[in-house]
Amino acid sequence: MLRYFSRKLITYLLTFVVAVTIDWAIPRFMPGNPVDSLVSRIAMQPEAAQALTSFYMKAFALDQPIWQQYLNFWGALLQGDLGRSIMLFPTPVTVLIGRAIPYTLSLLLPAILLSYWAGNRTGALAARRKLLDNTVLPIGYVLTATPYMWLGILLAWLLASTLRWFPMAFGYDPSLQMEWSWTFIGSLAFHWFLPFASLFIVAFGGWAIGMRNMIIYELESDYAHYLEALGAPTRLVRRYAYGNARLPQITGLALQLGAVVGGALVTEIVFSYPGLGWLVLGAIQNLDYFLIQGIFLFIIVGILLANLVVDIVYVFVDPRTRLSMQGSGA
Amino acid sequence: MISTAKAARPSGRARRVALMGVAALALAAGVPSLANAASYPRNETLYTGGTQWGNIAGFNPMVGGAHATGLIGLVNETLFRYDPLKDTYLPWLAEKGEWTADNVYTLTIRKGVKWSDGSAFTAADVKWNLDLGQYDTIPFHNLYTGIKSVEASGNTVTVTFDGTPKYQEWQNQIWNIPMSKPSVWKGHENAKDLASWSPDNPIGTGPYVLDKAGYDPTTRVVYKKRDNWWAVDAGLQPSPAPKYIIDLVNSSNNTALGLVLTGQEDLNNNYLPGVSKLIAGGYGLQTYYPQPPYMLAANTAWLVPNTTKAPMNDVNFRKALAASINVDQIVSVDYGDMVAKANSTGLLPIWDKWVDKDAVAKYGFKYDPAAAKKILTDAGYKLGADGMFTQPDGSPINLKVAVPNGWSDWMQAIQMISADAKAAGINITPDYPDYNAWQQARNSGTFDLVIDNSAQMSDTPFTYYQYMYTLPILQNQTNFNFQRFEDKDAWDLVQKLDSTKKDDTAGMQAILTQLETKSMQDLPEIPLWYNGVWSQAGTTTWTNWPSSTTADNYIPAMWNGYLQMTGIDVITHVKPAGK
Repeated sequence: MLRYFSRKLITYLLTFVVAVTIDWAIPRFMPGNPVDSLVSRIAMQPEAAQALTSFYMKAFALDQPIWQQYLNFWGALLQGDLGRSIMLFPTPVTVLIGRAIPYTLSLLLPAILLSYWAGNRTGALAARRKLLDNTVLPIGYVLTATPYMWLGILLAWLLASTLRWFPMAFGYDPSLQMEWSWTFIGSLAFHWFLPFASLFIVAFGGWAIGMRNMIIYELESDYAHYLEALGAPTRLVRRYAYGNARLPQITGLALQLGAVVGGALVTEIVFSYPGLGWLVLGAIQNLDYFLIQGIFLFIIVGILLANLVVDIVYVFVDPRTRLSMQGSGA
Repeated sequence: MISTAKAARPSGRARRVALMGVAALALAAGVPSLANAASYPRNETLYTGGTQWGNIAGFNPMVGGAHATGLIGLVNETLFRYDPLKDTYLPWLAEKGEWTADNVYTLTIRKGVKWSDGSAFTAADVKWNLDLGQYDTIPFHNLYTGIKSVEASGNTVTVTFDGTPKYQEWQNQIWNIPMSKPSVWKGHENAKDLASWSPDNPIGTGPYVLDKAGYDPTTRVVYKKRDNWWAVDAGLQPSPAPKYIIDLVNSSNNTALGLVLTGQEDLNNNYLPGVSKLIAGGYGLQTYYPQPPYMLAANTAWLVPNTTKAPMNDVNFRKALAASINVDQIVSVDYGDMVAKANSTGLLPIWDKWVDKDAVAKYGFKYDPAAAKKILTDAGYKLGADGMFTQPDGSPINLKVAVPNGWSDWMQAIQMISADAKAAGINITPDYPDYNAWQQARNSGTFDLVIDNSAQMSDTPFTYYQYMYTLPILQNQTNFNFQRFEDKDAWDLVQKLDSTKKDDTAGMQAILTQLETKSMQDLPEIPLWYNGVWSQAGTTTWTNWPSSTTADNYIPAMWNGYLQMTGIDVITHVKPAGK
């Protein structure tokens, strides 16, 4: 057990270092200079512009050699310091991320968990039930092939712009005062619904198809036929099939996380939903190195942690993993 | 036995109901403070949008363009205001300002003005704000270095200059420098903080104060009307009708359009394509002019050639290029007549009185592809078999004209410009890099041709020519002379204009005629059309928006720098629609 986890941890640590290095490097390879944008926007006399440019270059330590910047970055990161935003100088990156996180998590967590749960249930139900299968299968294929963003635009157009059932932008109704009133909470939920729905629906399709196919596969396997031959009730056979079918689905969950997070980022932009995706758009447009790397760092850590959780869960749901660990004497 | 066991274990459904009941009770008990909704009453709230993109940076009025929309004008006011349509300065926090000697400017500070914390606004406060110019991160630092002293006594402030003052710049700055309450800046009065620190609690003399409870940097800034605004007591302004002003953060033009059409945003300052059709579409929308060009002109869009590269360094090539572009077509097809074609000087309509019509008739350019070809042929360019010109030395012409990706009106415009140029034998292709790449190319001079519109309307054409001719050319040009055009004589003229008093009309005109003539002869940049003060006003909640058809000829924009023109008059003159 210990060896299994220590090996996993080392893999995760290596992935983390590599991913964070790429995260640090990519914004710096983008053309343009963030301080330029800032100074151009302030529009001032050339002398003052020069003074301000050098002030900002120093403030962001962008005047130092690139290797020094990389070392500075790790040094600060190990102290939990993600630096200060360039476009919103001097707001610390952690403050900006802190503002956006509740919105993004409130989309992601329910969308991932609910779509996993509902999709697997529906897929399992659909398998070997002709009528249901004929509807779930094609719809599932269409949904899972739909880009998150496109579905978001479609929902915004249909339900927000045309029918006006739902709002099309912001995290809450901007005419409300921010306070813990039922109206405000209701407004948060109301504005949350469409971005959540577009994430949920796409992911749902994927899980349903996956589970439906797995169940059919399992029901055709020898142990299922053997059980049936013994006269076991269909319910029991299906329960065993489900238990086996969900193993690859759990692995799939870990693989899917990245796609869902990416989907959430673009969905937020479609709905002007003030989460991380919306924030990263502005950061990229303004070449805000520190904010871009801060947000992606957060996403990297989030995905790695989620994968770790899946690894741990796997040990508990798949007895074979535990057995193999015992077998190897850990 | 069996029955008791069953009775002891409630059924699944009963258990679920019980759990829900407990949860509801816990919620009700745990959060007793959950009151009913408090919202900003729609009929007392003015919603604006179109200025702020992304998160709101804060409330530091010293950092131009990087503070919450409306901060200058609604909270922090200026000594004067300026009405561009009437070309008059409006005494504001200062009652009077005049040159009492050639190098001495004396300000009379208005009595009875109060900061929002109740204390009196004094001449000493004005001195403190002007003296901030000593820090090199303040936008008017350069101007301040020419000031010998700023003295406050009683209700006058005397500004003494070293030698000949830069009259035009000073005149421009006194209606742009925001007045902040000095005590707010205690402990932050240094170059670094003035460029970066944001006060939590801005104190100004204006008609509104920040509503801190409503401020959400991701979504909106809320201003609340303050009692006893001095301008009402002084009889200068009606008391503004909106009790709250909420400026919404933009994320996309689609969203903005949706908010405007559904009446959720009252005044929108985005460029929204096809507005001319929407006005007629029964959405209750209003623009400044009810007919083309619909919008007031805010700035000039130029085709900026990189004059350090061949063939853009050849004036004949620039002239041929100018003659090859059919701007009328861009105006009607691309913009749907929402903009107007620029005259050959590029000076905005508000500066029309400064335009020397004779010089324009003599040196101006117009669309004439045949003439374009003739200019090139005469200058030694050779027309090849492919219908494209080569340079006199035989090298091919293969240029790119760039605008930021996503700026749809400009993207369409450069497609038309490229097509027009090709028709005249000049091989130009459109290019749409990402904004930052575009900006870097523009600032560092690696581009061939770009569209730019950095010079905004102001009280003097000096700012326009400052943009065009500023020297020296730096490795990185952040605000001026992106075309990198070196003309020492023209720059001397611009500086001479700077040192001419605003009331010396004849002196100004003489210099301007020379500058206009020079700019048309040399074409360091090619004026195309006037970008508008994009403004769509909804009439469902508020009416009496500025219009060319009424006496309310104000500029309907919340953009930075516009409230201290006549933007604030828009706020004080809107009336409830009474629905």
